[in-house]
Amino acid sequence: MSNEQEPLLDGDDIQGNILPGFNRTERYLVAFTCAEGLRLQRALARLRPEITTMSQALGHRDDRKLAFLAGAPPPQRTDLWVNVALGIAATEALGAHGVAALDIGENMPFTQGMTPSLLGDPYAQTLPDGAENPAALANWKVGSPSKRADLLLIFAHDADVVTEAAPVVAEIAALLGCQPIYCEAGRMLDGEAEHFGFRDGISQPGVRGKIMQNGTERLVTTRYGVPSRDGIDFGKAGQPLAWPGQFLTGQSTGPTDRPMLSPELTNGSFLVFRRLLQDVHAFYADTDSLARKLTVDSKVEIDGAGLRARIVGRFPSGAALMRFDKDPIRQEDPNAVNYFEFGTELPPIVLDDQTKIDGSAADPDVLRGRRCPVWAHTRKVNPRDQPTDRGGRVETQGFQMLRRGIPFGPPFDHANPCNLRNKESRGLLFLAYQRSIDRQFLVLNSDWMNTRTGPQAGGFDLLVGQYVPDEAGGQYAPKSASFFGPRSQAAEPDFIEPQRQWIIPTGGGFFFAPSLAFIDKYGAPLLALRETDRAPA
Amino acid sequence: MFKYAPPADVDDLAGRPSRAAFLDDWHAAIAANFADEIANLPPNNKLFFSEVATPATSADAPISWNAFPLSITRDNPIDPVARWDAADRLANVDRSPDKNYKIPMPCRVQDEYCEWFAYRQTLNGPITRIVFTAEAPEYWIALAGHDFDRVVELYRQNVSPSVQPDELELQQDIVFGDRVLKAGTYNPYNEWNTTKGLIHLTHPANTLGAEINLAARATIPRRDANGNRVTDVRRFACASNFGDPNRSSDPNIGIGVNLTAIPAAAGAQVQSITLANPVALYIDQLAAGTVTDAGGTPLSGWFKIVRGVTGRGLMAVLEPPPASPFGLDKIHIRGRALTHGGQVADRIQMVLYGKTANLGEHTPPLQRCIMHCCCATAIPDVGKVNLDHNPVADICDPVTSKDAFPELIGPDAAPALAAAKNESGATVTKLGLTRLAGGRDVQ
Repeated sequence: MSNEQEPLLDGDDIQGNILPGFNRTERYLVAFTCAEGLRLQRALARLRPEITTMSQALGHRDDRKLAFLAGAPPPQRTDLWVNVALGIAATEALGAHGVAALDIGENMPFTQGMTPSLLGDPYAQTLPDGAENPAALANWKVGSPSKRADLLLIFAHDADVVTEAAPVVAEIAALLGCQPIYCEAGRMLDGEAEHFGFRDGISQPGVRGKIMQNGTERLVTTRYGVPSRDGIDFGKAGQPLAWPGQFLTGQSTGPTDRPMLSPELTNGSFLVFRRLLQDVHAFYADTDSLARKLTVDSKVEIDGAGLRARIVGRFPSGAALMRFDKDPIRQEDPNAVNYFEFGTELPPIVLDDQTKIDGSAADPDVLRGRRCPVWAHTRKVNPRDQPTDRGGRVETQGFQMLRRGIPFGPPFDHANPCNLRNKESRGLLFLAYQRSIDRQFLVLNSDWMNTRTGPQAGGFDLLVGQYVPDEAGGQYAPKSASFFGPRSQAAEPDFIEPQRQWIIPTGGGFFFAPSLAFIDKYGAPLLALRETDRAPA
Repeated sequence: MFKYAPPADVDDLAGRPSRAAFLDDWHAAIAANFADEIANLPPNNKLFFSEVATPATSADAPISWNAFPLSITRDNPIDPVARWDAADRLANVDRSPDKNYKIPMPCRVQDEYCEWFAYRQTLNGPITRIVFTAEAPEYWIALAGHDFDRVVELYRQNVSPSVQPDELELQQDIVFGDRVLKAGTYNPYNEWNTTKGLIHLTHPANTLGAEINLAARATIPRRDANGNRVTDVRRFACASNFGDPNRSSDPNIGIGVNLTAIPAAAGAQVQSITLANPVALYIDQLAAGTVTDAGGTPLSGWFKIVRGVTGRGLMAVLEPPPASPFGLDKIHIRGRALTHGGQVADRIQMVLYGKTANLGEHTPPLQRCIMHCCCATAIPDVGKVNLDHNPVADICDPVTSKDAFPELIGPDAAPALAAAKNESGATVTKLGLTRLAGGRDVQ
């Protein structure tokens, strides 16, 4: 499809963590409970000049790309970036009732808030041994009924985000008349990996559209000359292009779609925040043990690393199982790492800049997934060319979100297991932007990761999936998966069933990340007073 | 000796003299259905097999899909209540054995091999019980043919104690598939299975015959006009002469069968494929956490498989457990008050099971597309709308419609039309379904 048909986006109206994302070394999340309209107005007015826009963040992405191409380290900046998101209590308190009406779908999750029923999380407040259950909503570090997150601030910096953000946090706290209920810093780990050691966030949809930059139009997502396939256009190889209406309110979902929303409701996005605790020790110990069992009991030649790669669907470097038999020594070209399907062989291609991309194999037994299991995390959330319980490729593409997560806590010291820091909490601050929480996040999370049969039958997402069957009294139950493994002709699967949950939700919320026009409107009554305004007593 | 068993191995005639003959006849009917479908396959492609001839050697290979009709979702993409309402409307299917007059019979529009009925205290009153079924009508027709009294008993147990035998009988001859059901025999469209209750499937495509037909025909690999194999799920369903490309189930089952039998991976072993015994379509499970109290706490024991077993459910019921202090009018489905059966169907997974064996078959040649899909010219994104599935010979109206996937048959399709029409198995089953109120008509 011609680029001419793509919409012109207002890069100064869209928050930068939505598009293109805060690709800075550090992040800092700060949440407040406040449902008083006047105080929230004051806070928005104060934040307005600090908000980092899409235009600003896009410039930084360009700098990173240039550095990458030059073989230089990522550029460091000294400025503080800030974005903001609001919970339902805040949008209602501001009188922005139109936001709730944007919460399309069957279950109105933004309006309803996070619940165990929507998320599939455990809800027993105590564990079987009587200890407090950290995964129960009531016990969450943020987002529990007693720690409701109405205003979420997302800061980004490259060196010392907490210190840099402190003055802004203090001012906002004064304006809101309360201290934050939650503050947590995140930091990129080496190799842009998450705590289990796998490179994260490498498969993102490309967003169609253009913005004005320095007086000229440019595409939001670079096109590298990847041939279209089955009617789908691509940015990088394996990066399907999606219309901006999949992520932004009031934007088009197709070439003839012309949505009409008031300016303050346009260019917003619904944000899902999940604080996911990762048990690195259990993940490694359990997968090593399961691999040994497979080897002894079933004569499957697999080690812990091999099993972990199958649970993720990629090797630690990010290389896909569908492209490699083992983790390559050199990290793949960013244009190649996502060039694969599951049921279809892809031919080698040559990009516009003459970069050659190798083709990729199809799974010899795609219904079971011998090369990449049907239950591998990356296949669960993006089965690509595969048919699913909810349609096919078009529907799957429509469920995808813009993920902006970042690890929190210290890296696990595998070389020194007795390191006291290994006992500290660590995990992922999962952040994902989308147009509809109900029809995007909840499909991937609740209908696919949390089930044995979605999007294709064969097992749970052993990595992230939450399994709390109705008869389990609100406690986790073990998740199982049919393991067909690398043996090409094995008729019967081996079943694997880890007994521990490696990723546990301990906080979160559903938010609306508004446009700058929204902040102008709802902060506007006080903008003029900003210089002299004082926090209410 | 291998014998096809009743769906989910249900033993409805346990202890009755009619049992042995019924089981023999059931096996014979399913075996004959397989034999017919195998006979209709091209001589150079016999990857579909029956375990009557050869045992399957693999584990069950499940293929799953969502119970709520995807075609209705596509027609109602924004408003969920409109979607649930649409799924609850009845339609008519013409079952006349004579072209000169019609015999409209009521049926549901729920076409993903799962149908449901919400029982209410009073018309438009609160829902007291919702029943879901995946049972094909063929089974109940066969059962009634052997033991009508037992069918009446089962209706009284599962639908209403008020059911009378004559209410389950046909008043006139009707056609059902390729056979005629005579007046005075079992009426699969009786009021206790349509307007007043539910015990088995009624949508004309929701049959065991359709399942076997689909699995057999899906073993034929297709190529597009450029000679490339068709592996995309919806394109393959459009290109083939099985099922409906607008559903979640049929395309999913079709491409699952196709890619399992003939993997796209270079050098992968071709597998012969069959449907696991007992052959049926099943309710697999309701997603955990679906049913909650008004406060959002999940409830257990409300959704039960009452015919079949978990993973192979034939009938499921949503109703209060015996000691519950409140009824369905007080429960929520993922935070939303229960008002429609479709809310629950949204969270039900369906499943069927295939099995494979290496019978030494060779990779069959790719066949040209025998069907294609049309949609309105103004539609920019064909992936989000329902399509008209037509034989290749029926080209899209050049003024009002376009080929949804033009690469399947290419711009020069016309000369190939005559040849395509002669290809074995090119006929399309016309369901003759008409919606009674609203919704999309289905031919």
